[in-house]
Amino acid sequence: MEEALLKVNGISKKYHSFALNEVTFSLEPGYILGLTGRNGAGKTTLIKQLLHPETAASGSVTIAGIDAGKHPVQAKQEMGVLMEEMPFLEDWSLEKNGKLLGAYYEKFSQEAFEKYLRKFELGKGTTYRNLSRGMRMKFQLAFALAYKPKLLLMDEATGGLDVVFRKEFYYLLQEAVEQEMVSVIISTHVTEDLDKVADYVAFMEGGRMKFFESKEELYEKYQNYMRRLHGEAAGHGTVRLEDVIYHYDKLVEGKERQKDECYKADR
Amino acid sequence: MKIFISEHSNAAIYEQIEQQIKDAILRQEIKPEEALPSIRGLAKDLQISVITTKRAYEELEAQGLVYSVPGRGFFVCNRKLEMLKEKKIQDLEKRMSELIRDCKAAELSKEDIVDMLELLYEET
Repeated sequence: MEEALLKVNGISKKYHSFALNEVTFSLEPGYILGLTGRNGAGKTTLIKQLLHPETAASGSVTIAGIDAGKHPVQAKQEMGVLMEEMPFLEDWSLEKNGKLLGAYYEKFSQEAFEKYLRKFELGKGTTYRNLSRGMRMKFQLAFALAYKPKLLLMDEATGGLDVVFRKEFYYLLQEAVEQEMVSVIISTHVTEDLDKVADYVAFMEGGRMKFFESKEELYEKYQNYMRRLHGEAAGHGTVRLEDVIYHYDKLVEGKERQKDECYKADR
Repeated sequence: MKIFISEHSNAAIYEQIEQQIKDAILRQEIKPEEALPSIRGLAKDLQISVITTKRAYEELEAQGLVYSVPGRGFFVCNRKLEMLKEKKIQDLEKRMSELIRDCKAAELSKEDIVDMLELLYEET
């Protein structure tokens, strides 16, 4: 396995009514992680803690070798963020937004930024306010890619956008993965998107990370489970993450139960 | 080479890729020593995960059809082609035998089968 780009070790954070509990995982360069779970499971809290590990109660976040809790400013240079609420200026043009906010990033290139705007078919003179939801997503991607971060964080970024747009958007995202070897964390409760592009899937429940596995492994486990239930012929074909998550406990339990049965049969 | 992923297929996505690349190698659409598309490029074009694509390539590598060069990608093996063709013919013979057995069971004569073959051959 390649050296991990992102290492999250036992990160915890307590709020009044919610706690993020000892979350640990790592991600290699050039892979897409789908972070999913029901509303309130802790997806957004986890993303926030990745961005601001200095505020965590315990645990550490290392990105590209930088301890993000100790050096938050340097760590942020390596992270691109796509989410609904962003600090861009509504009345300013895209070009000026880039000039103003790009100044916070050492590696930001206005030239690269405008190249991405053209590629994503966004006019640099357009006022930020006038962008549709989908255009905002593309703008945020253009802005982020212009400072060459090593990790992109997306929080419910494609929610409410139509299928055709999402398809196009994920193409652009995968292109960035291919060309820049950037890693991506997509936090969403829409698992269809993850069915397509995610390499790894992490599932949050009650502030804990219930599982973190490669999608191939999850699909395989599910297929084996279906075969155990319905015989050899079943379980082939397209698996949906939604079903995997729904049956997850049984995917593991099933194995134990089968063992028990073998044991009984032996006796 | 054009790879097409069907969501309604009985085969897993990595199996579909594996099979289609195998066929392309057999038809010499990708020639020996030629490179397969890059893993990340193919994943992007098909809008699937990198790990799924990688798995398909690794299956092909395990079967000795392709080899990998670290940092450069996957290439089609030279010597395996003849064996693959032979294997394909064996598979076809096996399927043909089954078909003939079924035809016999349905009380079709040899002439009926040949007629059927000729008709269908033109149409396919």
